[in-house]
Amino acid sequence: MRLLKFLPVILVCLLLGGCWDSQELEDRLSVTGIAIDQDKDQLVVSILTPIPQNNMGISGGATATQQPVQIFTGRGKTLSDATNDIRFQSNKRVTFGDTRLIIISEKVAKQGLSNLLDAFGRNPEFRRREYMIVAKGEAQHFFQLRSPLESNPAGYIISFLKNKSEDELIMKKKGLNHFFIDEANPVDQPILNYLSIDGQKVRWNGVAIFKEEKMVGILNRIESRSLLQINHNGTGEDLVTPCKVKPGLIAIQPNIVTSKVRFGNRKGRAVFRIMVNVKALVKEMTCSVNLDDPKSLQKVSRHVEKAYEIQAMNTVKKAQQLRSDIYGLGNFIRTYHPTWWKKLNWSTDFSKADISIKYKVVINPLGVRKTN
Amino acid sequence: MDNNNIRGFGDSISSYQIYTLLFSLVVGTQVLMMPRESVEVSGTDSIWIVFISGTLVFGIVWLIGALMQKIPRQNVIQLVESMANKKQWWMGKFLALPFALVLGGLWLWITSIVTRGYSDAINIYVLPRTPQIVILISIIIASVVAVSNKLVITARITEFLLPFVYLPIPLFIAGVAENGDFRNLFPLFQANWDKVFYGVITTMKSYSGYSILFVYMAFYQQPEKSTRTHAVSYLAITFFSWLTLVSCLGIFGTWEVTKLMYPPIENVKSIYVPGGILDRVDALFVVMWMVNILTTIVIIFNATVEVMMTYLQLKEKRRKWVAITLSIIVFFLSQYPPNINKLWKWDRWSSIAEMIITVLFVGIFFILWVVRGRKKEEDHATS
Repeated sequence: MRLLKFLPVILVCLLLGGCWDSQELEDRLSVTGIAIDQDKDQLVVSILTPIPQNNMGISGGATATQQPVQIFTGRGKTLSDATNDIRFQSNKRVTFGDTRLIIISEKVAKQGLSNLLDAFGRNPEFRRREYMIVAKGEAQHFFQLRSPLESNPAGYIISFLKNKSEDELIMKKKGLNHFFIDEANPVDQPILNYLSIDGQKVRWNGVAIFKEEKMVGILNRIESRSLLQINHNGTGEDLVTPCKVKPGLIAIQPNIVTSKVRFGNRKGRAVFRIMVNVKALVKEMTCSVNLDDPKSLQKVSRHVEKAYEIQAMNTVKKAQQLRSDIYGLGNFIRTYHPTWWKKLNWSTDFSKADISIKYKVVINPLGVRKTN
Repeated sequence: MDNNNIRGFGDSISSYQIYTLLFSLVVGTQVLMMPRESVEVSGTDSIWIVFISGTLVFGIVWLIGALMQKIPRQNVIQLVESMANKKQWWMGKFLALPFALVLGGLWLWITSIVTRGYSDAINIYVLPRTPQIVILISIIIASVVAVSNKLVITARITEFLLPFVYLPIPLFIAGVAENGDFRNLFPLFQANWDKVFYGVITTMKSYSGYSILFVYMAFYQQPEKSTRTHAVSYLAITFFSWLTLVSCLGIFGTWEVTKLMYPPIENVKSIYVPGGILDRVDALFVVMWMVNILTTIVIIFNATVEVMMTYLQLKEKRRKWVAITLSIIVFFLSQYPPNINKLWKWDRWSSIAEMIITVLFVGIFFILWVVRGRKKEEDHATS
């Protein structure tokens, strides 16, 4: 009974501190998206804030002509400087607790994100799970999108990224948290999804490659596929390739992808043998090949393997040229051979590493249609 | 004069309550910082070093337990006082004074460090505008209310709140399952002996507070079974610390962990709960951790109050006034460190001081126990 007597007192005491920090919902300006651009020596930060009463739908009192979001833009030498500029434009308190999207322009990304992201890391309002992308062109233009599918541009981009990553078509888990982790890790190099605007839509253009904090290059959609398959065991987009056996094209839909990395030391040089196993379905075929015939099926499979391997090796060469270990291959050496790792200068040694990628494709020819 | 030596069954604490007390004692602010601090010193080897630290702390606890089993239903102050003749009770008081001051001072120091650490974390994550003094006063008032009651009530509070202390466990597992990379946990056995030594000392810091057993063991229902209870408690605590460390290290890797102030909170922040519910799991986690830290403060603060009550032989109704008086010291002490770096320095020194004091006192008390035994034998022989 005595316990029950003073428990409420304890709880009340704990709540007392909240008075200073109480914030009414109506007094908050909840930021859902942040776009960061550069203009000369200044950062241009745009924040996207939904207007709740205009997002309730027609039945909720909103009309089709009302703006569902408001964009505020601030300028400054640092992120917090630019954010302060925004604070003086708004009648409400700017809060970042609901931020779910960070868009960084290519120009800013190429200059390095380490200093920029320091503000995100220090502010406890950010939850580290924010989606983070690199924008082709101006980042703030993404907030001008007015898709009939989604009134909030940030919501549209987020659902785009979420659905595409769940379909294993683009890089998943590439948000603020992973950028921080990859950037801190001397082996793994950060990568971010690279998007552009196409009218009132967005388009995934591949992957922005970083070397430490600076963006150093881009992998296009096709080049990104092998990276997705090796790093995330993602399926990637369908492969359309000539049937080879007969004129026409065949579209292969990867269904299950697994990869295995073997590595070794050949006279001090790192050697990596990456094996990617793909189980795929035939999605479309414009050639009259009898896939019931094991020989024909094997020929098609070999051809698909070859096509995958050529593309994958092109990606590896590009990564080696950029000296950016986007596959995290160095992590295998660091993990299993720490003594050898200490002797390596991985940035240089990665570019000299002997890397080969082999694909093993098993095609399941069955669909609801047996032959062309 | 209140007779503190005689305790009824209702005033004693069961084995399960001992477990809850020890578990709640350790899971506090220290665990929030432990992954960063231990990884800073010994990298990925912290994964196994944490077990060495746990074993060493259990060794110290075993020593305390072995001593306290010899003097059942008595705390160390009563042991020292019993060295003097009943007619020369002032001599007993004189002998016990340094022990009461050192133990009471140490626990007040630790209480103030935990209180300040708690208010700093709350200030950073939850209440940035609230003056720190208000947070400090709130937590101190809550602690005073709790410790104004008998020690057994503290045991019941921790028993009641223990499920909240367990709640982070599924979150840590979910975090590492969702975002972890097992390669972040390797390579192992790379630290040299220096790093292992400092790693052990650093990780032992997160177990601090065990010296309260000098007082709490006087309340054990079955002191003879304390070794088993302590072993189970420290096994569970070590597992909890290990899980916290592995979860943070698995997700962030050694490089990012060392950049984070409170890695377990950042760990929970990165968890995605499907369905849009509990979008900010970290808010739930911080609230749970508030409860954990409150129990830590209450347990250590209560030990101080108990020492003072015993030494001054005050009546039970004076307990709250002792708590209030001591809380003023806690309040000023907790405000003393000008910044978090100074607080961490205090934290390190307090844990080292606790280790030294505990081992030293166990040795002294064992000698006193032997001397008292001989004295009793002599008295028995002469009578």
